[in-house]
Amino acid sequence: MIAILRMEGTNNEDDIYNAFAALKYPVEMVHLKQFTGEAKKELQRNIFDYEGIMIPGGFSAGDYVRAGAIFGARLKKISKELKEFVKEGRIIGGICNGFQVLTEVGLLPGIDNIIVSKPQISLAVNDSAKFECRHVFLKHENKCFFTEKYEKNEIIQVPIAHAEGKFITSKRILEELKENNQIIFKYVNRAGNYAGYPFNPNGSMENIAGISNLEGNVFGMMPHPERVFYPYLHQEKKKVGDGKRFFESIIKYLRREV
Amino acid sequence: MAKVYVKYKKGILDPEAENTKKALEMLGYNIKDVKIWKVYDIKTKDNVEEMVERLLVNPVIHEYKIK
Repeated sequence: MIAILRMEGTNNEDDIYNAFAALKYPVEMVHLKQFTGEAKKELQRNIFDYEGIMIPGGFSAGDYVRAGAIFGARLKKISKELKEFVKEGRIIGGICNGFQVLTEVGLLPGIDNIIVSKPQISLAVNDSAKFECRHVFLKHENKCFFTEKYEKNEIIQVPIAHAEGKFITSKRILEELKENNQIIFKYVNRAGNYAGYPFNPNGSMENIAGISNLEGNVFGMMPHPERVFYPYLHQEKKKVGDGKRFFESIIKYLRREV
Repeated sequence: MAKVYVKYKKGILDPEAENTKKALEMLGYNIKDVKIWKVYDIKTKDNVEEMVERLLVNPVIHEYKIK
């Protein structure tokens, strides 16, 4: 069972839910309070009843303070459990606002420890100072459990919708991410080459769009694969939506077919 | 009571500040630099330093002072 973790202001949970449901994988919406013990007793949930947690996009807590910061700070109440969860090889994924949450909570980059107490990555305000909402091209640089079904170096087209997506980290973390093959997606142009704005929509360091932890079972990306689950959601004619294999990869891993 | 001042670190681009600078220049002013601070005015007896670390600041991009 996958838990789609929602709270006030998330708004992409339905699309992710529907993607798993369409692939006939058991999935449930869970509110953050159901995990942190703040919900009524009969509504409480234990994270260890799930094989995976997906954090959807949206504007959690109105994006106040910083995008994802409030969701992250509240999620830190169960840091110990999250650490154990990841250690056991279960998966945690974050898309867009969910990626911001995973960096704020310290589950990404997952280099020094499974979870760190202070954020080591920031998804800061786009260089354009605008909300960027359109399709972008991504190059699949390295495989992780979330992207097993994509070919290495394959170019896919996925939409973005964010004002805070500029990937920033320290030199050391950037070097380690490269060395450990943790950079999963980079923004490219149509020909598959690294390029500046508008192809890199936010000014991210080295065009980084998505990364995983060391083991590949925690993953975050700014673009929205759930929004191109079906081919008719693409701008161009395609037989299969480019986002479908993202969910198929997760399911393949959870069924231990990897 | 405490005031927490947060701003971008040196070397981290603040697009809002850059745009404000541009706008002021277009109004005919001679601007060297614009910095934007966010100020949290917090009435509390609890540990403000801890609040800063747990929520208010991302050390990758921010610096802060408490007064």
